[in-house]
Amino acid sequence: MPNSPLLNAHPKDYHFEPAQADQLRMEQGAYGERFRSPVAPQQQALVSTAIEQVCRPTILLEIIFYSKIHLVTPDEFVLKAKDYHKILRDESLLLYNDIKDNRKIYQEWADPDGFIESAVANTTAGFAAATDAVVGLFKAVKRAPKPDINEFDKLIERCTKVAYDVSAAASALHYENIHSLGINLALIREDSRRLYKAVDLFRNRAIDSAETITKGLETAEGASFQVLALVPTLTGMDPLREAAYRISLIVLRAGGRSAGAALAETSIIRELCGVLKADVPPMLVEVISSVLRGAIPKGAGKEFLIFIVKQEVEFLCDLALLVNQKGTQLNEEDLKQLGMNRLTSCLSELLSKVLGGRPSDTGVQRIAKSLAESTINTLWRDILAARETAKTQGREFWDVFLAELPWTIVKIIQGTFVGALQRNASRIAFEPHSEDGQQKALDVMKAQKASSIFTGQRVTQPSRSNAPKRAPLGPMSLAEYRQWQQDLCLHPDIAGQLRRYAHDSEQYVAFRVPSDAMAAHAAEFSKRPKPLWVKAKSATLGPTEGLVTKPTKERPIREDNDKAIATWEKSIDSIKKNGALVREDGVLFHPDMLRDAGKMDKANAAIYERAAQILTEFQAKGHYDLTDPNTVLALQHAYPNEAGALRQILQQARVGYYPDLDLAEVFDANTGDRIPVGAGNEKDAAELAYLQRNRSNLDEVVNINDDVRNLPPEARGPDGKPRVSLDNKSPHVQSLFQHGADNEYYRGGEGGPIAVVGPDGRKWRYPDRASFEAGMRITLGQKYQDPGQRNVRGILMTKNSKDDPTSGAMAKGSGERIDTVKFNRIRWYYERVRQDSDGGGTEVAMNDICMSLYQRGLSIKAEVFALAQGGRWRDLHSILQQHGTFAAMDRDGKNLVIAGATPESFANGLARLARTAVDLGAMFVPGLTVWFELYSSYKPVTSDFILNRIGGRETGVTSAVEDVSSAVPSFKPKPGSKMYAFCLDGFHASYSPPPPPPLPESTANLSAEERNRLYREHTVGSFGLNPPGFGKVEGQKLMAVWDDLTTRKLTYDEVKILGCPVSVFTAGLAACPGNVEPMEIPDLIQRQERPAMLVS
Amino acid sequence: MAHTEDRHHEVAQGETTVQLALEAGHYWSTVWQHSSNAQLRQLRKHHNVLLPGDVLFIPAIRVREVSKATDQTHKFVRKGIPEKFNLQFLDYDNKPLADAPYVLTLDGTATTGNLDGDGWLRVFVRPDICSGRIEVGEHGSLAACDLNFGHLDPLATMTGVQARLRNLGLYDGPIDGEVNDLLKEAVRAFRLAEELPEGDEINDELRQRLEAKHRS
Repeated sequence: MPNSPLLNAHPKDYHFEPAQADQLRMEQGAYGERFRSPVAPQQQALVSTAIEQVCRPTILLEIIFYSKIHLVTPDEFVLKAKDYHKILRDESLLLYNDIKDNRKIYQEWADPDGFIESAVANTTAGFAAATDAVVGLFKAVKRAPKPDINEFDKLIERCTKVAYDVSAAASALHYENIHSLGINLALIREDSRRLYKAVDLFRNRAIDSAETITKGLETAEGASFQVLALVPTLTGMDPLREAAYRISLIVLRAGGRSAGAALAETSIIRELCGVLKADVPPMLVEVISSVLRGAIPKGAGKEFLIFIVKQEVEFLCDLALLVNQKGTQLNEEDLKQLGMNRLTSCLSELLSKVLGGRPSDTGVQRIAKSLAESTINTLWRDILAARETAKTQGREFWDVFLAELPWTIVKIIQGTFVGALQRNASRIAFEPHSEDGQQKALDVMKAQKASSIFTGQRVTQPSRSNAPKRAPLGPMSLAEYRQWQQDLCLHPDIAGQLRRYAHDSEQYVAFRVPSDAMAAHAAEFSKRPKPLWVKAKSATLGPTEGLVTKPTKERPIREDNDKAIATWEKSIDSIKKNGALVREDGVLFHPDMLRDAGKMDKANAAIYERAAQILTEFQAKGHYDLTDPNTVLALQHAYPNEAGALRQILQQARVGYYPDLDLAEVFDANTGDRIPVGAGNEKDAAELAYLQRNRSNLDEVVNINDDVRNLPPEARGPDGKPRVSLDNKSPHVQSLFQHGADNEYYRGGEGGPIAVVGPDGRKWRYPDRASFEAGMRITLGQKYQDPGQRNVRGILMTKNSKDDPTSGAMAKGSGERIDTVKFNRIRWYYERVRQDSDGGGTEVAMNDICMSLYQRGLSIKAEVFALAQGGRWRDLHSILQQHGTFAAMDRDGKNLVIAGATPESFANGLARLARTAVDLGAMFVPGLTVWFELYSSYKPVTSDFILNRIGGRETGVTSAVEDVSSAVPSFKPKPGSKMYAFCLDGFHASYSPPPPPPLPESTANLSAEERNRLYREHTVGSFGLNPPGFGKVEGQKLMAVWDDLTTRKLTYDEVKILGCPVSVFTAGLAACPGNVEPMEIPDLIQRQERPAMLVS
Repeated sequence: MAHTEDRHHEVAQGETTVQLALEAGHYWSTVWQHSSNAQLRQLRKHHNVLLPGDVLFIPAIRVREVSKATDQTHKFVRKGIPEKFNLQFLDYDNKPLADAPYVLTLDGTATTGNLDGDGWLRVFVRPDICSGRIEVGEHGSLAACDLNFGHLDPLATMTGVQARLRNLGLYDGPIDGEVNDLLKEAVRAFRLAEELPEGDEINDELRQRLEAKHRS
């Protein structure tokens, strides 16, 4: 390994000096007072001359936890000293675990002996040539200079001592003790950071060395396989586990979990979200790019990736805040406010880069959309689960949510990046003439355990490159999800996938409407849908309704209990084989579900983990049925000390398998043909048999015999003979049963209500089979075929859980089109998102503001105003020039947009807008809607304070804007309050252009002028670069933050100018070519029009 | 501006006898000790601790003629200028911030020095000074506050109690004469510290202790 950074390193590279107290640069936490008392802006002494008087300023004590300073009054300290002590105790234990865990990870690197085996084994399987190189790498790792692992032990020892001191301090909660313990922990944390930095340096060098291997392999094998399968092996750990772990630390550092529980306040939650937004994206991108290097597209720079991740994390934080605030009663507008479309668009851009090709490619669009929808579904599910858990366990929502937050974030990011690569793998697999491609893709999936990330993976399915062009199917709104859940009892996750499947495959999918219980179970995080190996029936009766349950004579679970018992008995082998057990109440479960349950109940996570371990061991010994008293005795005998607690926690755990959808029938939307979807077993043959033309073929393929004893009970009549008439049918008994008469298979009225999902995203619900057929006759029209005579498209398909549209595991496809306009707009946003050195944001160029108006079909010409408003605003130009703002109006004179930048401050920018509006005079006329837009490249999509934009310590409304306080109520001084800052909170709509009228099929008969007008309407402001359509425009809502000088509480009010809200945009909505003066743009547009294209 | 007629002045917030006398051209004692202010003297213990609304008699200026030789330099010293400003700084444990460095900013001019061994700031200031700022310790690390001269009301009033409790770091509410929750809390804390009977009553005993503690 020549020029190896690993071997060429010097031991000094990994040396670090222990931190000193005066080197600590601790931030102030959100808890406690905002100002240290000596410098508090409001501290005053009322004095007089010539007398003696005393000044004793208010004292605030410094409490340090999670390396943040918190200022509290002595009185508060006395009241809450126990809480502080508890937090420090938790912190010491967490820090202890943190260092120990890092030690464990590092130990794998420092001494990779055990590790090498798995590395060699994994690589040998596919890459024999790489084995030597991998071995060489780890040998090199062994002999290379590296950080001393004993440094971890020293820190652990220090941490242990502090933990001991914390315990000892419990009996004497003096301020000095508490303060010094906080300092000590901060010092240990700082030292651990320095050590981790050295370890990271070493590890990165090792990974760099590994790259020489992976690069070699890249040429020989598909990139996706190499990246996904080999690199994680080389790195020796699950990188996303490490990411989740690091996020946990960030959460802890923000004082979120423990401090949040003990001292829950909104300010802490806000700060936590702020810290997450700031710290998590760079860290995640670091993990992603170090592990998936080579797979990240060349065009996607680090900043871009951070931007994408940031969007997702911000979306998560905002969604959680909103859900916590409003409950699940979110309406569509709420979700729009959250910027779901923005998230979708950002994801789409990333995916199009990852997958290559143009973003407008149908395949790219489909994958992008499905991934975005999965992400949102995952988020939604996790948040609802946390909410439900909080409710049932009587805990704070945030307490539960934060416990799960690291994995939620990782799941989203994993879904985005790894999911994209996996889909890419699938595409590679199904490239023409790729014989081993599918196996390769399956290997990729296996290596990545994709099914644990998304229930909806379908990589083994070829992508449809020849899908006809149809109207895109947009994402489901929350209201729709709710409606589907109400009407069809479908969990939102399944509903979305089913709808997408029907659309993508252009099929009508009919299925039995599940019971309410199924939807409820599907919402439980720790429960899972029935995998293929579970054949047993789910209960429709009793307390375990909706879950796969062991049926007995004494405890029937269904009306057809005997059948259920028979099925159960057939399933026992696969239950044993797959490690599942039966709970004492008969519910079938897998021990892994307990681990999931533990994630939702953090307080008892260790108990759940232990229970899962015990049950796994117990099951491996052949025990599986805890309804059997002997099995329970065996458990108690094997684990005498733990069996009692285990049984108790198992009984209350939310575990079990709920059933997949029961598919009724699938039709091709174009032909009305029936599409067989089966399990690849004899039952499918039976299904197929009710089609006349297949019957003769079936006789040849099914195992025909005339032994009536082999008939299943339901095939026999009361006399023990076949129930079906033998007239005109095959003389063979078995084939007669398989064929049957038409009505034998046409089970009118059987099975309860049937639901249908169509390719246009619509749904129907029919009370019975007859109504279903009638409905399909109407829906399909002439394509409808009678049940007994339906054509069948293709051949019998092999079903597995990934292909079955009813198992919640379907491919997802295209939805909203990501066209060039959107793509360019997103890129434009991204490129313009820059911050100045102090984080205050930069001004948006006037040209871009002007173009943002013009591209929406608005005119800034005085003539248009004069025309629309009868010359009311003749001096428009002078007003605009005076205030440095823009006013633009649509051609109908129904919308007026006043826009401006923030040249000095937000207050200043607002004042300019307000002065413009005031100077325009009689602006609010009937039929005219006024919109205000402010452009400033402050942090994108954020709700953080815009600090120092209205003054630091010198807060308050300045005299410079007081003159417009009548137009802007936020500028009116409030007695006892001062304006503290502005902030952005959510979104609201700004002016969106109406869609242009459709172009006529031919313009041959139109005049040149008319054709030019049409062309302009469809390309307005685009310079010929972009297709028409601007979509819905939403800006961020500007809020004013007020500081109550007495209580020091912050309150928020929405900023409005003359009663209209103000939208803030973090970049221009459209770019303006360089060297163009804003006020000249209209003329320029005219010059740049290309009439020749249409006129000539 | 010198006043040529006797007048009664209604004291506003921030005004002191010294300040008003200076403005009228008097030495403060001339005004305060005037027989017409005898009733006010009985009511207010100190000439610089007045209550807004107090009526202070300010006599007309009496022109005194002094004969001095020409072609010589004569020095006239106006009595009562400058004024002494005395402020003691205590820490949370009521120990003086002995010898601590300070920065005193008056009229935009900063002066530095050290408190004395008992934590006292003893400096001369203009009698009509209205406001200033003091920072004790490095960058105000020990104490920092704005100084509002003439705003200390008599102890007998509720605003006087509020002001003193605020100076003692116990009250952070408005100086409005209202008995609010913050004031009750501060009184309770003061009573606890002074080992007075528990409660939030503001009585003579509390005022005496407060005067002793605040020294005025």
